[in-house]
Amino acid sequence: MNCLELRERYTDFRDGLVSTSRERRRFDRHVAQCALCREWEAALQRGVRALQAAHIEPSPEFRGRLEARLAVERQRVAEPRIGPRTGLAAALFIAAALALIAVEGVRPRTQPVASLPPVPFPKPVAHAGVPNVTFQDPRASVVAGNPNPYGTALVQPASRVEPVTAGR
Amino acid sequence: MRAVLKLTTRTGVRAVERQTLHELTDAQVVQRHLGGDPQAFGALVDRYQSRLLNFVNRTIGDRERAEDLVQEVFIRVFRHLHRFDQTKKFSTWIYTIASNLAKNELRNRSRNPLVLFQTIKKNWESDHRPLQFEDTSARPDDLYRKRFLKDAVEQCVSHLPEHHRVVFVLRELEGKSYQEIAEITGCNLGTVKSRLNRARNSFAQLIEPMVE
Repeated sequence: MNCLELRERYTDFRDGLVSTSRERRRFDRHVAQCALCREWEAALQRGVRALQAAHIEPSPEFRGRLEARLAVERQRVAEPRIGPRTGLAAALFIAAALALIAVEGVRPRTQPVASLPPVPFPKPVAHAGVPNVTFQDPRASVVAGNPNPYGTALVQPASRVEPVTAGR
Repeated sequence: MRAVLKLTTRTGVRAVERQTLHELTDAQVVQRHLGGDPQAFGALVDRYQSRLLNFVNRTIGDRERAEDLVQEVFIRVFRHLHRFDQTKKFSTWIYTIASNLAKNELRNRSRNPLVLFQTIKKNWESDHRPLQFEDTSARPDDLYRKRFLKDAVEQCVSHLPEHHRVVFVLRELEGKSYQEIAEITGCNLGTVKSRLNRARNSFAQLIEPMVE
């Protein structure tokens, strides 16, 4: 074991987390041989002991102050206080609830609407001819050679479209 | 005469009750408090006030504020004891409350540098107190050495990072098990172990030149 390993695993050795006695012996042997680690551990132990000795006690007023606060808590538990605003809010809530119930009782019930007789859904009609396409922009008719002016054009299958010479 | 006798008897009964309470376990005292025993909560305060004060004081490094926080711990315990899961350990629960309050205090302090300044000033003043609370039977150089070592170790602890410090104090001063520390700090066992090892290494490194 070297110094670095001892410091990395110090907590394991110190708190008895090392299960094998062989490991424990390695630790003890290193501490016995290495003056640096021995001093390091002694300083740590001494520091911890000094820390344990520097124990403080609560001030004499501590208990009195705590008892006073606890007395307030006990009173709070014994008499759950309802403030005037809480009381007012509760009264308003109850009044609103009663008003709603009253209105609901007075209001005439609406007659249920008679349902209409069932109507057959219109069947879609499939047109055999070529569909018309309407353009919203009337300037489309400016194109020369358009046989359908004012935005109406006849769309023909691509095979039947004749080459059109564009021009004004 | 009869009134005096009655008062004496009542005081005697209370003393016996208190003695009985001190012999009970934490869980039993909690049961007594929940059962309406007016003395039971006082017994819990007797048990924990000193321990919690030392723990919080070491964590935040301000004695007066530590007292305020310990008071707050007891008030919270009083308010919420009926909700405490009695299958768990009471000491772990109360230390968890104290640890959380101490953490909040440190967080608030880092946000408000004025508080930190006040703490430094307070500590500076306490450093200049006369040695009137020391053991007068000891020799002056012993007193000096003792005082120096006390200040040195407190300084070393305050230099540890907060999450290392809490684990270190809980283990070395409060003697808590790894499992309890894990529950109090909300970490897993591996984290507790590694933090403790780092804290011990840092503490030894800081204290070594001072105790030579």
